[in-house]
Amino acid sequence: MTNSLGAPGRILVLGGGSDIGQAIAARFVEDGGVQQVVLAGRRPGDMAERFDARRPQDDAAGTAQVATVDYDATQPGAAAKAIAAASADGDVDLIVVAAGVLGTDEHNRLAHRATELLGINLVAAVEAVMEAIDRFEAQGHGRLVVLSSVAGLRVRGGLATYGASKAGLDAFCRAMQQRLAGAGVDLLIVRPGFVHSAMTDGLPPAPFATDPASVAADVAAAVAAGRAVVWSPPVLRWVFAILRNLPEPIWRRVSGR
Amino acid sequence: MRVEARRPVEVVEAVVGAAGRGVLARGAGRSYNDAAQNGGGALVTQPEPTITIDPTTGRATASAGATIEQVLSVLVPHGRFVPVTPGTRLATIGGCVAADVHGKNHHRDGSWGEHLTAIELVDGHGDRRHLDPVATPSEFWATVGGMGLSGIILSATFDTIPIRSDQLAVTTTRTGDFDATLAALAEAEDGHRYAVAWVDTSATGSRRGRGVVSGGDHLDAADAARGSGEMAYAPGSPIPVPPTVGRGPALIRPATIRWFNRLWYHKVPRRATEVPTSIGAFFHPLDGLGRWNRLYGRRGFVQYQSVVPAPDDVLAQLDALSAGGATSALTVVKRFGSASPAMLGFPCPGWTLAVDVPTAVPRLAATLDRLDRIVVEAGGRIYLAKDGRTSIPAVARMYPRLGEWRRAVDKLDPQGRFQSDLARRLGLRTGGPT
Ligand SMILES: Cc1cc2nc3c(=O)[nH]c(=O)nc-3n(C[C@H](O)[C@H](O)[C@H](O)COP(=O)(O)OP(=O)(O)OC[C@H]3O[C@@H](n4cnc5c(N)ncnc54)[C@H](O)[C@@H]3O)c2cc1C
Ligand SMILES: NC(=O)c1ccc[n+]([C@@H]2O[C@H](COP(=O)([O-])OP(=O)(O)OC[C@H]3O[C@@H](n4cnc5c(N)ncnc54)[C@H](OP(=O)(O)O)[C@@H]3O)[C@@H](O)[C@H]2O)c1
Repeated sequence: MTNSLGAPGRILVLGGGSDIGQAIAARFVEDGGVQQVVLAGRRPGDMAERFDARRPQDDAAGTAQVATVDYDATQPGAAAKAIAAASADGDVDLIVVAAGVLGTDEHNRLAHRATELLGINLVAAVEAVMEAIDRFEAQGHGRLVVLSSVAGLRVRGGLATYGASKAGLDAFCRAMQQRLAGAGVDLLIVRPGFVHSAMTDGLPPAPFATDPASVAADVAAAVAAGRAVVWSPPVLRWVFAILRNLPEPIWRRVSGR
Repeated sequence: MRVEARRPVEVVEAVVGAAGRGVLARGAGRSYNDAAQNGGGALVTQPEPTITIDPTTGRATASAGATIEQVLSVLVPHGRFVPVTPGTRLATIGGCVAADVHGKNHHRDGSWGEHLTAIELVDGHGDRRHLDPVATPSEFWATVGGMGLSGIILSATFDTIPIRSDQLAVTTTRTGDFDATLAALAEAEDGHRYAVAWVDTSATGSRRGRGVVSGGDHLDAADAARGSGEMAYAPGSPIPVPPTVGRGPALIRPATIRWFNRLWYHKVPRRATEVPTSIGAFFHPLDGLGRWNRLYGRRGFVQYQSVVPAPDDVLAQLDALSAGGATSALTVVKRFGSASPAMLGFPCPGWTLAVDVPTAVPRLAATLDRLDRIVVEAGGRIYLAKDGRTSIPAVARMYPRLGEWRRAVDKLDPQGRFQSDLARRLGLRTGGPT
């Protein structure tokens, strides 16, 4: 149950090893009131260990337990199974949809690689969002945090498939928000820029690069304020207001690597 | 889904027809958070009040949906008064039983449940049960204080107390520090049926814990000045808080809170004074202000009420609050008498502290977690009817009879039909994190 201070009692992270997803859960634990964090992913031991290292060591209650469940986004029905497992003995109050892959140049050139990436970042993510909403509507409350990306706001050639996957997910979530208005179920779309994480390890940082903890802080603030979309860092909202409207030739030049 | 049950059979139908998210009785919704909520499930209210009293014995029976106000309007003209009243006249009898409420007379008269002689309950099988403390003690004391999780109460029978006036004599005393507050409270409890202390949270240093102690008793005879000896109870409609309040910035903020507290303190004469006071003004002052909660602005406030064995544990909580920058707007301290046999009853011997903190205080969750720790380590507990944020492990330590209660409730409701958001949040019925 979500408590009277707005803290989710139980958090489920789909893609439980994600640096950003874990940072978001850790942030809520630090703020107090969280009873359990369920990490859903392919490598349970590793996820739990990394989360324990990341969570605040001095949270006032120190009572949040950590559990893991299996989740492989390439398997049909994976999200429904993970959500059911996590809510077997009670409500899940917040679900973070974090699983994702960045892909390589191959994913922009080979059809089977492209569909593989879309299967994880778009198909499985949409499936997760829908399963979460079903669960939340049944229990009468719940909050989704979905990791979109600025890469989907204006897609560049070097990130065609990844950008398209995020553009699709972002658009789907925007439309879902319309449906959810007034239903007691909230959906927050998170649009980070370049975040230093396992996904971007070794890549040259883009302007306004940030880190998972800062994204988590922006998410926590957006949740408290009841916002629908959060950019991280927030300045990217204005940067992209310009980038989205650049004439194509100029966009090609600034986005080309 | 809301069910307005006008007859007991409709309550039975709602219980038998409960789906996966269960069913829960709701009174007037005066508990502070999620005790009377059941997201995704059914909520049953019983809007039709019936109240009867035997004028010779003073024993009364009220339907669960009857409010304290409705009960008093029947009792007072007969020269009778409820054995215990919470600080709001809008609470229902069902809510008073389910939370085993306490009043300003706890040191002398105990909690609501101790004055009950019988409860009529619809259990999880959909059966109507007569519960009383002699024949069915386990079911009875699992239901009293059971927060609606053992069944839906249809009615309750209880003993009332005789009164000879509809006014009270109330003595207020201003105190200079916490020790003086405790001493004045002890004195008020010895001398009066009703006693309570209000603490000025703006005071620090040597004045820390100063406050105003009031002691009250029903007047012995009708107020001569008013002529007739007839007694009446008509609380009148509340003074409304204008609708614009609550939209803009909160009126009650840390700076204004300190001023309110200081003013309130200085408003009380230095020397003890006795004044005749109405039932409403003495017992239900907040009800006199409609929508008073809106004074706290859009985000509202959090009530935190605990009971701890020793006054030092109260001070430790007050210190933790001020260290966390959480200035309480309304701080009440009172000594409880002995505990009732209710398995999840809140009052137990010791000192209760109730504070009201604006939700907007930064890092309030962590500060209140710290209070929980003080309370748990002292062997105390917090009041479930006012909780919105404690943790599952904390509750298990605060309520050592939780296991016993669970077994009794499981017998009344083996299918787990009675559920609430509070129960899910704190794993009350399941024990697991929910
Ligand atoms: C201004 C104010 C002052 C207060 N002062 C005090 C005080 O001095 N002392 C004190 O003890 N409390 C106090 N309270 C708390 C309040 O008295 C309790 O929360 C009480 O339970 C509220 O009754 P209600 O009818 O509003 O119940 P609700 O809030 O509707 O429900 C409370 C609980 O009772 C259960 N319940 C209600 N009706 C039934 C039924 N028919 N059968 C089974 N279960 C039922 C619900 O399921 C829920 O768990 C105060 C509250 C306010 C707002
Ligand atoms: N980092 C950035 O710059 C950035 C920017 C904007 C948006 N995002 C988005 O934020 C989210 C989290 O990214 P991150 O930075 O935290 O990266 P990350 O640490 O690499 O996390 C991604 C997670 O997704 C999991 N995953 C991948 N494929 C999966 C599958 N088939 N089934 C289950 N889990 C799978 C990975 O699990 P394994 O460990 O098992 O592979 C990994 O834990 C992603 O959706 C990403 O697109 C990231």
